[in-house]
Amino acid sequence: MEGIILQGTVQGFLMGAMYALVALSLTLIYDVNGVLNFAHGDLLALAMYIAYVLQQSFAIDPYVAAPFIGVAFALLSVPLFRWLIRPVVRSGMLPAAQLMLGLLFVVQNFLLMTFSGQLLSVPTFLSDSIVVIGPVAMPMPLVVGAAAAGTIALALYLVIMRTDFGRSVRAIVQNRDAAALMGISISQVETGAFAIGIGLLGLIGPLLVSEITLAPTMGLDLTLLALIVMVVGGVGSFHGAVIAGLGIGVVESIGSLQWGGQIGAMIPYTLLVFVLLLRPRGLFGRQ
Amino acid sequence: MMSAHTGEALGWLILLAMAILAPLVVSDHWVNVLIACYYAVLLCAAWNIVGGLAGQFAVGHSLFVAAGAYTSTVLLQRFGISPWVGVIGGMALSSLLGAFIAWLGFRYALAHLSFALVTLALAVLGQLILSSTDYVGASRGLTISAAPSVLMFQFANDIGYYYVVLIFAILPIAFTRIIYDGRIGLYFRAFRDNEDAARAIGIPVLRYRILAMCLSGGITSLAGTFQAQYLLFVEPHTFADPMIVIQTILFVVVGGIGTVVGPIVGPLFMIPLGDLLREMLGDALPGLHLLGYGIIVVLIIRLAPGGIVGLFARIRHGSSIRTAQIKPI
Repeated sequence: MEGIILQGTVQGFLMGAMYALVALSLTLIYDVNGVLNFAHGDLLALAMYIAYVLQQSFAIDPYVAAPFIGVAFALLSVPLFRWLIRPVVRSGMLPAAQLMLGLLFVVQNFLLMTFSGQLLSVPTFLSDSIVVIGPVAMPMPLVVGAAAAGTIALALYLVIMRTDFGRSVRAIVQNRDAAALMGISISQVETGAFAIGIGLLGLIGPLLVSEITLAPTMGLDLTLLALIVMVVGGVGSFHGAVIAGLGIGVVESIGSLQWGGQIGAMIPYTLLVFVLLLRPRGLFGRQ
Repeated sequence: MMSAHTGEALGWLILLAMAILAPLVVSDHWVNVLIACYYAVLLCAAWNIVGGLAGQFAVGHSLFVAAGAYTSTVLLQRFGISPWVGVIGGMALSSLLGAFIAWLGFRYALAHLSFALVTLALAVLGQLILSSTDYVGASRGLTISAAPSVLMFQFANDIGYYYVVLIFAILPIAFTRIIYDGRIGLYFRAFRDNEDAARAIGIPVLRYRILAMCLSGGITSLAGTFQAQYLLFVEPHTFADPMIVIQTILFVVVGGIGTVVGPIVGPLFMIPLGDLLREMLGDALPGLHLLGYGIIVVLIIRLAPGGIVGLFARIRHGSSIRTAQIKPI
């Protein structure tokens, strides 16, 4: 049991770092644009499949491909946002959520069509190495992925807190009208936040790819996990999302190691229901 | 000169007559397509009560489909009880579940986002629990032994199923039409549009929210029992996957959310379209038709807010009615 707790804690911490980052990009889009991106997990899955194709067809390692996929996602998300999403957001949050459900359907069916139902795993040049720290043995890709997620999250934090763009983002989240009156170009910041949020998915997907068995329908689970992290942490709270991501990663890993994957998979959902009942605005939400 | 009221009644009667006579005219293939349509209409109209009229963005209705399907099937296979009785058990269970979920959402003042997420989380939990419970066959599910008998909700051919699902689908539509302009419908729409104002003028919001979810959940479970008897099996992927709800919501949105005819128009447009696309594109690349299908849905949401019904309303009343006035939710 003690071994399980230690192993589960470390492993969960590493997975949790990635959950947190995906949740942060979801939060950024939600806070600035009011878009509940139900297709978030499916776009992450799409990034992973692109990394898989690049690796299989052109022998490009996912770690090398990651920044390029990230930039491509960010650039492609701009016309998507301007033409498709923003006009719908204007008519309300619920139509926008419905649009994103439609997008989820499109991406998932694209993946199903292209890769059929088969499960895939993607090796990287690090796949066979293991890091041993005391009694805990960890696969190297997981350690690297978590370190990358931590670094990117820190960079995102600095961007939000220290740059003009970040100040504009925070101003819009606090008071849209006032921000517009202060001369902030709402339209540009909205597009920028959306592009960063989607770009992060393109960046993190390939870094995660070797730790996850790919299935075309996995997107909804990833979206749900990110949503749970966001809501449990408190919508809009940066450190809330980080803490909730790490916490959920840890309890899920310990649960899976102790009682098997089925029970482990139920833990985040159960946790969500309880947290919302005890603290409807999440652990660190604005009251 | 016919009054608007008579005109509408006539429209419904013609539609009903067409639905009743259709199996005599069309091929077996189209009977199947129409069964799929009515099944979707049933799901859509039931969801529209809570999602469209009462404005609660519930994304967990696969839970009710599963409750209906599993209740009647377990009662049938383990205790030999007719699904006609089981269907009532499923409705009772779903109504209770619905009431509980509505109460949770209200009691803890969950915002739209949290409510959607909690309902979705409960649906996923339900699927995971069903997939790991041996009593209901875990991920393999249960099969229903084939023994056609009207008393046991089994028919020798599809015509029987056709009329059953037609009657089931008429229930939520008739119900929506009847309440729409009555007190219940006005209350629903009042707290959908502005909950604080609704409460201020004395609408008992909690009671009516629970009512909406109870009705919606109970009617949705009818679809579960029907589908179990039609396919003669239950299994978590077909009966408890949240994609069922997502597809239902998309159909409603395509038709016209919050309207009476939207949940009829959406499936009657989309399902034959899917069938057509499969015939045209299915050979080229398996799954291409689903992709095309999804793109059409996205385009309709983008280009025709208010769905097909909203589009027609705009054409009829001229371009002076702007989309903002046909408020989707």
